[in-house]
Amino acid sequence: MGAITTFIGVYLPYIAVLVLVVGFIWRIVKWWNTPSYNIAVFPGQTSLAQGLIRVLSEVIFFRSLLNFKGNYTLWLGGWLFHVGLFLTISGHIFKFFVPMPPGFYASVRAAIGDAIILVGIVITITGLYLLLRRIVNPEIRMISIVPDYIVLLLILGIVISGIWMTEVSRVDVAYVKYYIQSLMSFSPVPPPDNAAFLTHFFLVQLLAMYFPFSKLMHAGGIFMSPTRWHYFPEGAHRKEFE
Amino acid sequence: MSEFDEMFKTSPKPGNAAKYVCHKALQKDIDVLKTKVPFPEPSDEEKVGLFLRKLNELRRSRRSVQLFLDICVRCGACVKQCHYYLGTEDPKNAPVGRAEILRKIYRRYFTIGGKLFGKLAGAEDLTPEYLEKELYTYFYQCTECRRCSVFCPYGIDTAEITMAAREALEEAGLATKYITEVIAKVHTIGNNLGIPKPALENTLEFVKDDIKDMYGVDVEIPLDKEKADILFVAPSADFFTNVDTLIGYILVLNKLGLDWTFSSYASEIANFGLFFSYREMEAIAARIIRVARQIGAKWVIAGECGHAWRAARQFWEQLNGPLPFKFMNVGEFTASMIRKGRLKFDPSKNADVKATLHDPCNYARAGNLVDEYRFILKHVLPEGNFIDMREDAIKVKTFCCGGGGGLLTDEIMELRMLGGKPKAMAVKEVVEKHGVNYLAAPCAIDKAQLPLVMKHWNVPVQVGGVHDLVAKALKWE
Repeated sequence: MGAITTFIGVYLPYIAVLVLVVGFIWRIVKWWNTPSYNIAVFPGQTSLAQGLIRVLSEVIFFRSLLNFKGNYTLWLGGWLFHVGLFLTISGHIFKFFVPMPPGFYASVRAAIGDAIILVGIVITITGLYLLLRRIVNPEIRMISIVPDYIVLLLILGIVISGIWMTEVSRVDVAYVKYYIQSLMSFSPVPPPDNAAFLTHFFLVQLLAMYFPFSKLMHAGGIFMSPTRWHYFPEGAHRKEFE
Repeated sequence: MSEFDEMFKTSPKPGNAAKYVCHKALQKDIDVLKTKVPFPEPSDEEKVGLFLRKLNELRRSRRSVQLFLDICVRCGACVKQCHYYLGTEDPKNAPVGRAEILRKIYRRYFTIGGKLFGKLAGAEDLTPEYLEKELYTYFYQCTECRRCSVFCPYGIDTAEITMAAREALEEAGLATKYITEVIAKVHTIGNNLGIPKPALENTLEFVKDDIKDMYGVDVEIPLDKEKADILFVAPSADFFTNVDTLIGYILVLNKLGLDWTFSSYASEIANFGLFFSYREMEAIAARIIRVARQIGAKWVIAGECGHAWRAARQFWEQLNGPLPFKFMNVGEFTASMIRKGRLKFDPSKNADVKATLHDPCNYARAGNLVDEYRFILKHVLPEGNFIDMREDAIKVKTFCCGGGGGLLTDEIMELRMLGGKPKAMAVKEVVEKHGVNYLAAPCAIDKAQLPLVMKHWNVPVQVGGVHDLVAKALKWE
């Protein structure tokens, strides 16, 4: 095992997870501790429940993007991209961390076959769309900054190397699982000797460490937006004159 | 394709709006402001440091500022939602483009990426030139209408960014002549237009005679009563240019026989602090609250004024509270009285009026006040004489008139007309399709801005208030 492989496969994972978790919590706590004025944008929220519904409709359906016809393509691309990411990440978490009866994954795989790769393809296509519109659309190009491209390229790199690793270079998935679990129990075994896997794994770690310092924090911030959350209970203001 | 839809085919023209710069504040007005809240006059070298210190303070004390600086992904959903972008096509007038002007500075001085990688991370050094050419110029091209926030997946509200930028600019001694002039008048005389008490008394005398002539009714117009149940605070423009709207309020209040009064000390509901800084907003609102306390008012009723309603609805309790009275907008008041059956109308008096309603931005997006004015209009107009504009130009998606946010000033007239284009195109549609001849705009800034906009874009329509029509149709017996 070379020095670089050892670093990527044995030490960096711990650093990356630490940076991601501590960084993410630090950012959320910092937002949480900053006083918030009630600046609700109407209509919608007149109670906490409505505020919650509003926030969830944004998180799950990207509802505000549907307010303008010109944003429908962005909605479709962005929504599929995020749903794809959500399914993929959930799949990874399930596979590595949730114990399932023996044979479960084999039967899932048998049932849907290679369709599982469709999710990766959807992310790739929509990710390319998001990247291309930044380059092709002059309005979006002018508001884009370098980190916007970096994030998309990182994600595309992760997805493509992931597809490559499972479909082309056929990494030993059972060993990958064994390796990840060894990292979890703090007694790491050598990582799979597969270039696509190492690339995939390394890019994931880069993204994880970049996450708390980047715009990717919208994943946490969307839950805290003052204009969406806040609601006005009836205080001194009244709608009926008595 | 209609002219309205045509408008959304934009192509960016960088620097197109750089020439529209508001005049800087005059010393005499700054002197007045300084007696109420500190207003520094730093040297060029100090400006940068002061701006950054204030920005740092603001992001730490307002979650909206910190969060909105952090989480924008630059998806561009907001770009075509800004009337100033549609009008000027300057990318720095797109909500995200405008916010990026401040974000660049925020990144450079307050984030790790910006400190380490500078321009590559989308950061920019703050120089006295950047303060003037970018921050001052473009943050005084935002009307804080908050339309962009409706279309943003994260609800990013550019008004919050604009307010923070303006507040930090003020710290660096940069403010506009128009806004400081208006605030100085409020502090010294009591209202935006600088109408002193004797002139106010005169006006009210005239109005009383006018009402007698027009409607044959003797009304009471109390001013500075020592005790009253209701303090009515109108925008001062209603005493001066929108007298028909004023007559509407007075007729309704007299018809109901309530115990009410105007005040010469609190003779202005408009609150330009909203366009300038939270502390000014608090200081201006304090005048109304002081009078309400003094006269033992149970209710404060706000006249037809959009941004004032945002200042009241969203900030009075938060900045000046708790309040010893209840408050409502005159639209809510009149609608509530109609619902209770205490006001009756003869809509045939408005038979010649075919009206549409311009929702003031701050009623719709900050006041939850869109149904009441429609309810009133439907009662005072004959059946079918109220027609709404297309769905994407009303209610929560209403387009700004182009003159809000403290930008109602002559030196940027061209910009104001360009910004008014989306509204004008939406009105034009109902004028051409349905023969609408009256644009009801329950807001003092609209009443000053929209007639110019409609003329500029050749839309033959009269602009007026909602209570103008209430006055005409009100049954006195």
